[in-house]
Amino acid sequence: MAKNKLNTQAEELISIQVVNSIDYSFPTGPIMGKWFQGLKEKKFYATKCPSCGRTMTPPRGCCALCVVRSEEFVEVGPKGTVENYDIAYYASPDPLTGKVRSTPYAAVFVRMDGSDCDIFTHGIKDEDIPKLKRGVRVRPVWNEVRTGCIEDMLYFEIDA
Amino acid sequence: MKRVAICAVAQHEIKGNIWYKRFQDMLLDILEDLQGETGFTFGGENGVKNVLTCSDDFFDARTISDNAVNDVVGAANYRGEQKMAQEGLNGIGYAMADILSGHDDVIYFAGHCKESLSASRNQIANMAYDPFYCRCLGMDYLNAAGLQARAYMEKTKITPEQLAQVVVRARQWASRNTYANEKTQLNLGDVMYSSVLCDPIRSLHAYPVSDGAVAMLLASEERAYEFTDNPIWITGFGNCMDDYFMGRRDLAASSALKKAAEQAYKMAGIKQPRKSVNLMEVMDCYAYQQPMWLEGLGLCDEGKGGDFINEYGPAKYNVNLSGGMLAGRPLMIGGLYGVAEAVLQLKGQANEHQAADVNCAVIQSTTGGAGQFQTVVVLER
Ligand SMILES: [Zn+2]
Repeated sequence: MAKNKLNTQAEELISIQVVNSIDYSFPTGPIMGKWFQGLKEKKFYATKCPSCGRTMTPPRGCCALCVVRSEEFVEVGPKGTVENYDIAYYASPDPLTGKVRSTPYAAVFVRMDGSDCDIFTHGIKDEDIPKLKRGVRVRPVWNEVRTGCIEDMLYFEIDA
Repeated sequence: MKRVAICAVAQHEIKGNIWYKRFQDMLLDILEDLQGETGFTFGGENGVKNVLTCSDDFFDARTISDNAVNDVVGAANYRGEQKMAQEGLNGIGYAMADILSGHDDVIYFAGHCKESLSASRNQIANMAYDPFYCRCLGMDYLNAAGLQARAYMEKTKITPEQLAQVVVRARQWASRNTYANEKTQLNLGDVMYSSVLCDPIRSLHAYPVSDGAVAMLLASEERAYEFTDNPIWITGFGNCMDDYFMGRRDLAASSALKKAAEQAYKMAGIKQPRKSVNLMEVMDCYAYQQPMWLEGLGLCDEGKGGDFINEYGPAKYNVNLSGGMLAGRPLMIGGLYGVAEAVLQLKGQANEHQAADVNCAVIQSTTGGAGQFQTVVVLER
């Protein structure tokens, strides 16, 4: 490795702490807007590709496989089947709040009833983490107050 | 030498805040427009196999910003994709290299930028500067331009009236362009006495906040006629970088632009641009930049930008008949909108702002503070 002269002058190696902050607003557009409106009403909307017929949850306005506009909505769920999952044991800050999540927490891949190969990802209730396995049936747990945002649904729980 | 064509272009209308669409929605709209015009597809033997995109991580608020748009540019289903986070005009050079190398024969190229996503585009531009020094001082593209405007105005003695004429004319042309953003008509006094933004730049000297998206189909000479009867040929390309540290630069000289133009003209075989070029699209984010970039491009003598305006130079060379940046175009793809405009002009499809007898068009664009990086493209029919 090349020797950097500065490496020998440790007192000059200062690092500064910077928080870069930019204020944004993100429009949902009509497709994601319909999805959020659905969550408010405890409904899951998917779009259906007019060409290959596959469903997309959450809805996308364009089928990536066929490269065609897909604006037909179908309702899927609310129950589904766990196809895959992972369990996180390390504590990392939630990028949205800056708070450290409690561990373990899990992400589940759920194939919603009425959709075909399409997978919807969300969390699972902490108490159900030990019972997670592929093929287990799950149902959504809704927030009492729903405003049309992703927090309208809290997580899935095992549908016993 | 083999030639590369721009077969067709599609422009999303530019607005100050396209709040009703995601940028993905905008990209899908122009993809459909372009497919409708040319009939190109992504599948099969003759479909597009490689896609080029232009976007910026900070404007889109996500890293690897191209990943979020792969479906609406046709790249998701196992096709090649290359993103550039540099001013879109450079993509013309990348696509040309891709085709001339024989790697591809058709390229779909799409760029987008929504300045309205951020509360202030100056917050984004501030991130272009180093975190130790210039970022903390509050540097952004606006006050970099303020420093350059003062240097240029002192050097050339260009007058407030002349700068106001540039803006008034831009709005006049914008009113004829379907895609242009700001079409409100102004008089000289409106511009000269508009509020001071960053002295000597006044609010109407600056381009309005803009959202937009542009797409185009490029092809080898062998395949171009599958998609259009009148391909437009890329005959010149050049770009050049100047120092990141503005204190070292001669801000009033646009040395990088001169070098970029020299390369592009040489490639196109243009010895006297004033005789050969009959349409210009320059990226005039601020009023002083229009005459300044025209000096750099060799359309007028150095330091004579003011006289050029008095002598109707902008009209003579059909400068920014689209309205240009001053009528509102987003950063990152201002140059691509310039290409789209030039292609329409060369094809004779510019409708209400069509110029007569356009054979050779030059497009210039820039990124970085005060025109740090410069790109020039020559298109001919
Ligand atoms: Zn499909």
